[in-house]
Amino acid sequence: MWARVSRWCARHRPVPPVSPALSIDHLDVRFGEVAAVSDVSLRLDEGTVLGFVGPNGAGKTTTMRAVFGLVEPAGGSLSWADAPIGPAQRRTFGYMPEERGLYAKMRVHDQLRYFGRLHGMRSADAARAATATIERLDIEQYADRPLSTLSLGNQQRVQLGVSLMHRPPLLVLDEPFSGLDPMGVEVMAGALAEERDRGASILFSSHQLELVERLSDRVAILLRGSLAAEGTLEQLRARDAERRFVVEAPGAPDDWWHGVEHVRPLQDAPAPADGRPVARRFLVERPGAERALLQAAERTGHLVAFAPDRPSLARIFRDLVA
Amino acid sequence: MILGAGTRLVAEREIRERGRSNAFQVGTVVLLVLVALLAIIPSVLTGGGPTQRTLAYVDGPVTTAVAERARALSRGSDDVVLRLERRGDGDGARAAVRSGDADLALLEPGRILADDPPGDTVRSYLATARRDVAISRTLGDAGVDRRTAASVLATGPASIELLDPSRADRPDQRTLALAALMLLYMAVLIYGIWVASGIVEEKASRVVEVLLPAVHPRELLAGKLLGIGLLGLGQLLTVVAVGVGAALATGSLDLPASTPETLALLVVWFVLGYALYAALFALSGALVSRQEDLTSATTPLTMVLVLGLLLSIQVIASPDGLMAQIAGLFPLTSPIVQPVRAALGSLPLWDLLLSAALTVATTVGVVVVAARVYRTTLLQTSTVGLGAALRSAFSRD
Repeated sequence: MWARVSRWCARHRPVPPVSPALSIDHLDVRFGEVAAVSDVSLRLDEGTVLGFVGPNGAGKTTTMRAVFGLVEPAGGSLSWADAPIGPAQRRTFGYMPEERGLYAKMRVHDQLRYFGRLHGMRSADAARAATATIERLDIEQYADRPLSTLSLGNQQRVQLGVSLMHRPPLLVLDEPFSGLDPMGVEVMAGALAEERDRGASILFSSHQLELVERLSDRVAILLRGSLAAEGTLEQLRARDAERRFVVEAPGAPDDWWHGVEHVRPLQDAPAPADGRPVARRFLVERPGAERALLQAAERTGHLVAFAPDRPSLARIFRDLVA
Repeated sequence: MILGAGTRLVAEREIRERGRSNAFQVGTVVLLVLVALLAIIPSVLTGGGPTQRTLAYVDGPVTTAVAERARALSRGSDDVVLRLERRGDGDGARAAVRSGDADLALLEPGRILADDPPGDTVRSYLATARRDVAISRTLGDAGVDRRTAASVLATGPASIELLDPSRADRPDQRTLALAALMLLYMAVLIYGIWVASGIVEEKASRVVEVLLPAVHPRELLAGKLLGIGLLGLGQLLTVVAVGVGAALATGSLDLPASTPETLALLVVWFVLGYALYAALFALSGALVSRQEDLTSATTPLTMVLVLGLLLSIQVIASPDGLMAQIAGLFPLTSPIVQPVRAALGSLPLWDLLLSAALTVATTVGVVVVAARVYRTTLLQTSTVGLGAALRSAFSRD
């Protein structure tokens, strides 16, 4: 009972009066006949991190590109601080596209300074910021080398530097962690946290769900171009918390739960070698049906544990995709 | 608007990065060496002065007179000068040719022995000398005194007055025209290809994704054209300065009085020709998204330029011909044909102004089309046909 009250409170906590920084309303993007993004609405508050999750082709990159005007929306609107996003706003944003790309022959420091200036920094400020960014990303020894002579991981650090050196209020990073070694992942994660602490709003996508879980204030899950779920991690977990159960009955027959109504087994981690999963997770589709499930489990004579499930983001994601 | 901060930054980057590249620095040095050589070579070729040929002659009153008259005729020539070797008889003269002491032998007034066929100049010396000797002997036999006879033979060639003195056929003027032609052809071709490959580079590397949120496509294109153009103009002026300097310093080229105008026109036509071709190359670069496809996309343009080059070489031979006039007015060829005609002094003002106006008008049209196509194809990752690109570029509104 007390748990329910506290959960209710958590869900209905009064929202602090922050106006959304980035707001995407009913975004539609079509490529010919294909709807790449349909009716996606998202908001990103100032100084928060939104993790963008979804299988390949779900529309994450397209949504991000729409923020930068790289695709033309068929419908919907995008605004920043309550004003429609236009060239003047985009110039202040920072963007790290999925397809990395910089000038291969240009030296690292020159490259950063150039992009700083394109984003409106004055010459001296851009030079200073380039030096500071290079230090921060730990690539000082490459400052005067052409980009193409750096390893791919270090090129990616430069790409990150290009996106954040002008201290953008909005930072959009498409798969910033892909292809990084563990050291690179830590540098990238550290940079994201620093940017958030500085006050930047960050939208980033990743398939590494533990990272999303660790770094995001809110998570949005995109499936086939539509928003499947959105909220804080707690909210996502709480969404089905009363309906998720994990049952451990080693040695029970595979189909012990067959015939229990309003209960759906959830896709699980790969079964052990003998083919019988030790723990099974279920989604109860009607309140109270869990009792029937418990009785069925008891009847097997193998029941070890029957408990509410607290899924990780990876589990929530897998269940949604399944 | 076009010359906004973005345009300036993009242009600055082009100048700095390309100016720093090996391709540019090596290319500049090669060009400078070529131009310096072109300016100096005439003096090297003529530096040895006229060639000398040795004429052995059989000692005898007529043969001696003919040989000496021939030597007198060759004196002062910048082509062939004769040196004489006297031999007692025909066998001695033959032996002199055989041993290489002499190039040819005058055995009798009308009989010559030579190792190699003598050139027209030597033949004409000997023929004229034989005739002169015959005339003076006849005059002597007729009782005319020596001095009168000599004055009859001293008549020189007629002097020639030109209707338009600037039309004098001067080999140096042709050198200048040829140099102007080669410089313009290379500049337009090289910088045009730079523009096209720069556009493709940004698409192929996907750096456009990072650029476009910060710069308008128009600024990106304008900055690129401006930056590469200024760099090219700087290189051209350097090359011209070094070429003219070398020519003046070695005194090898007798630069025509019209040189300053020719050079000024060279710069004007570089600007016009670069603008037109850079826009055309930008258009062809906008159609592809990989460097591998660029060659095929730019081939039609390169061929038009080569055609212009071939026409211009014809034009040097006949700067007033019908073909020169047509090629001079056709906007795609006028940037390399007109400077040649100007260097040869065969470009009337109306012709110059008309062709410049036609080129500017064409350029404006091409720039408008290229900018639209560039903008619509910037984010495409595949090659598109010109027709499809034009349709999508102009279907938006």
